[in-house]
Amino acid sequence: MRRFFGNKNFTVGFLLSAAVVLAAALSLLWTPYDPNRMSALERLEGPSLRHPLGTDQYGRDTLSRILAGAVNSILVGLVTVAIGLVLGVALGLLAAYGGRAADEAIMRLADLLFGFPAVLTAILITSILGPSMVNAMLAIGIFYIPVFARLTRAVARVVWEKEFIAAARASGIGELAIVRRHVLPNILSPLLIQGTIQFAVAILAEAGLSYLGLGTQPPHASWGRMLNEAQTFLDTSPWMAIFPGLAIAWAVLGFNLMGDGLRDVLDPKMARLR
Amino acid sequence: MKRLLAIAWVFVFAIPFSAPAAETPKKGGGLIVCVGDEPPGLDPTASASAAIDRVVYSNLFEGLVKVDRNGRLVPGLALGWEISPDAKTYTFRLRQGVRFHNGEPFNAQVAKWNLERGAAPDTKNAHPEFFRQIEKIETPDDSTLRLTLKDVNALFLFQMAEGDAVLLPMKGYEDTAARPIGTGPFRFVEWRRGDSVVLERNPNYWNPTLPYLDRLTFRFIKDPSAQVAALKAGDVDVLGWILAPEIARGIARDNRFKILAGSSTSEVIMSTNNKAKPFDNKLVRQAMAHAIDRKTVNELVMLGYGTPIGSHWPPITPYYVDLTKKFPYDPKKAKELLAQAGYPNGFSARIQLPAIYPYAQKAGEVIADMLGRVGIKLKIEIVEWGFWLDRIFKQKDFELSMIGHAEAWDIGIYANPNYYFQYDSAEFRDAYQKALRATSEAEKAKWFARCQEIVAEDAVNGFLFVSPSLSAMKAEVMNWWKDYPTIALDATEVWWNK
Repeated sequence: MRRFFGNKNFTVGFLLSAAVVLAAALSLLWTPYDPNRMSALERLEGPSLRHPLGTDQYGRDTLSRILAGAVNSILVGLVTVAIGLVLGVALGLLAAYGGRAADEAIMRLADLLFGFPAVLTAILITSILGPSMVNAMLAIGIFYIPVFARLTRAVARVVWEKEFIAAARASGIGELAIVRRHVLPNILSPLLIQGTIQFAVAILAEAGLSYLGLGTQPPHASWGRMLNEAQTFLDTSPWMAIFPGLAIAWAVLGFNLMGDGLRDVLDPKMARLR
Repeated sequence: MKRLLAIAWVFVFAIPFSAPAAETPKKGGGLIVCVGDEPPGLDPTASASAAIDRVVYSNLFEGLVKVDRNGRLVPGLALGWEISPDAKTYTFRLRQGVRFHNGEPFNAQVAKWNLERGAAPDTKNAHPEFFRQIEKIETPDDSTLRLTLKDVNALFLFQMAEGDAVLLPMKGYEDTAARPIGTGPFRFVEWRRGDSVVLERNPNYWNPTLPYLDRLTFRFIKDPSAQVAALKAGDVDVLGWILAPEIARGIARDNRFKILAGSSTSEVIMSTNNKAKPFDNKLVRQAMAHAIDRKTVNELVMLGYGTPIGSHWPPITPYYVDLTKKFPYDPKKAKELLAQAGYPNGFSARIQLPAIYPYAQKAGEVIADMLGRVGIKLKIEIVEWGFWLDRIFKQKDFELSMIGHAEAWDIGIYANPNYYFQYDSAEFRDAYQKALRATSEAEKAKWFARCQEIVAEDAVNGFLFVSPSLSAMKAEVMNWWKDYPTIALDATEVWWNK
């Protein structure tokens, strides 16, 4: 543990990310106001004691909405990284050990997916499936599959050449068991690093899609959607845009720093190279 | 008696209206008006595009009749008109000595040619039915035009006041889309594609005191924030049509500028599929009407700039009846009606909002909140405009939606059971026919009022508000139209107070 917290990047990133997770957890139990409750009398109020981050055009409390939006962001990060990890690792291992044909097919497919810009792919998928948070998560998750597949294949191949694998094979254990017991534990750190970074990317992507109206649907709070709604109020009520913007920056910075820190600690060779 | 009434009506509507001006208008100067959409051409008789009318209506082109700033009919190229007792024959007395911008004279023959052109089988006019309802066109002399309709149509004069019915010259009409020639107070100078259309004062205008401006330019800037920036930087003098009320509010803080907040003819309604369960039940629709607090909707969506309505009729259109009290905000009553309809615990439904219209999304969110308080849980879905047109408007596959119906005099859509909200009422169709066929002013008022009452009573759609007509301009710009009774940005009477 000390190894991790001795790293400045990791510590700062961890604290920032933990705050987001805590905020999300808190909002499930309590928010200052109902995040979706409108109140005509309190609309467009600036920050005050009653509404620390002000209110929006419908009189909804911005702080409550940012807290509720955190759930959204965390959920999107978790689900998309999970989709990417489960399917990506499976495909990556298959590519690494499944023979030339499987390798070729999977990697060319991954290249194809990589050929499209991420956001464009997501817009395409959500416009086919219809805009919703679930579909946005699906869209981002699908894009993550090749990311993790490539990584898995590369590191799994390196591990396969190691002596302990040869030893395991010599002792007569089946290939699947070797993968499960010896390969997976050894490729965990790069996957963890990548997963943390993709978590940050997912938060940004969800905000982007929601900003475009393709992600979280109203009235549910989403940081990206809050930015979209605040756009025309920039002149008159800038806090409507500033606080959700800060929230996005906070969360993305947090998970990115944590990912960087993890890499420094778990993959010292990379750290030295930089 | 009927004839007398008809004449009285002409008299009432034919008094040229001049806005109360504290000071006498000054002549001179140029005005740059910023609009969002560049027109596809400049011929209003060959396209339905509203962007064309905003530039040319009453500025460059005129019809026999015009709509003035208060939504009333005023003489255009016709000085006056008389309607026969059976309300089928209209005799127009035309202005004499009027010339088109290219020098061609205007007379009854020209008017006849224009009307025949609109009715021709190969016409490009967006509303050929305006002209095909005319059975006979007579021109006893150069300044008299007598039209006999196939059937009585109470809206005929209003149709003749539309942009589709402006009059073009017989010789110089071919290139109208690119180099328009009309009779209006301004004549065409040039069209810089992608940038602006420039008009200048017509020195031979039939009203020698008008226009006051020497030059009138329409500049096309799409992005709302760029429009505001252009106004603040002094690149444009007027923002002709602001969509977002919060932008108006931002400009209003700067005392170099002023905001005119008037009314338009765009009724924003929660479109309700009258054939979809449970909205086929009148009690459910009435319950929703009671659950909507129109005043608050207007506050939250339009910052109070709109005007609440209780039926499908804009307050600035003649024959308006105020029905906003018909279903007052009363959530308790709404719950009772829902229980009566068999939904004591409410129900869930889907509301689809067109992504391109921020007002529709905002109104949808507010309505979802209000209906949620009486137990109707709405799931909001933002949809693309293409999807909206195809799935909702064409295939009628929806439950609830939200949209502004911009056209004036459009209550006739309720007489069409195949229109997207699928309202089918013999009683309404009968009332609407009677209104259209009314031969006297009193009859028209009675039946158009009845039409409004029927759709209000049946709570066909959620009637929310009419969009405001918001314009912003330099404080010295005088006499700009406050309301938007027809698709026009008429600058004839505008002047600079500096």
